[in-house]
Amino acid sequence: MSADHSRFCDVFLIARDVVEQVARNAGGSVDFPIPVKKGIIPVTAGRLSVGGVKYTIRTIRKDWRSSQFYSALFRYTDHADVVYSTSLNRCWKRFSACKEVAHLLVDDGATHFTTDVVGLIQRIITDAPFFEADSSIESEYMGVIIAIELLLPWKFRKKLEAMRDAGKTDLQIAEHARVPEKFVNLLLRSPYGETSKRINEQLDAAAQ
Amino acid sequence: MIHLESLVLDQLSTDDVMNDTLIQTKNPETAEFTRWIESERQKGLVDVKFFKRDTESSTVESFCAEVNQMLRALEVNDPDFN
Repeated sequence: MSADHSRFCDVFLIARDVVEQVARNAGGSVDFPIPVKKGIIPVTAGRLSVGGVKYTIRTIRKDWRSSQFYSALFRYTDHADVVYSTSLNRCWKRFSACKEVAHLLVDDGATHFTTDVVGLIQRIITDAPFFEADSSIESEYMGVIIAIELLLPWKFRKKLEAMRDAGKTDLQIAEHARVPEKFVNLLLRSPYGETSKRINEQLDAAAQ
Repeated sequence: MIHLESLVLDQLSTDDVMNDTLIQTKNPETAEFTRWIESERQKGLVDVKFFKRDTESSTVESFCAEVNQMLRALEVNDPDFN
């Protein structure tokens, strides 16, 4: 098993566990749209609270016109601020918040925290191949994947596939799940979806 | 001809200050954001991430300008976010 595959398994397990915890907190079950502000965020904060010290995650909506980035995460030792734009619609704000919260779930300081912020921006804006190991940019991509697995969780994959197979459009499925349309397309009609399915099925098998 | 920037830089003693001066001279938005980051690190900031949008024509300076705009922007209540 490669290191990348191992990392995928780890983060998928965390996403699955968070969704289960959201369901437990909601009385045993959860459905679309997966709650973010009253579900994923408090569960994440609970996982980061240790020794009786409560970790807080603030979602902050700011009045700027998002052009080059949707949202930002500022992670402190005792709290985190997720900042997003007033110009985002409901689906994008939910997804953006989840992408940022995902970093709180899976990144660890030694390897994934951004130490060189300008360097991170250089890599973000160029999309150039990077020749040195750079975990902060890898972490940015992983955050998107975790957000997909949180808001379109494995436990509902068959339901989503059934909607697709019944002729529902990506937009109709996206409106049902309250996520941006392109991530529905990525999950249900791209090689990523097959990779996600294979890893989740392996995790199911390992759990039995 | 006296090159003013060289004259100033000659008087600086550390690489950090030199780099900061260069950034401030040439890229004020980047300098403003990096100063904010350093200030927040004193308050416990350990990580920063961005969810990129359209960066095809971005530069570091333009990206930092938008970040600074976000930091200065007013916070708005969002009762619909669930």
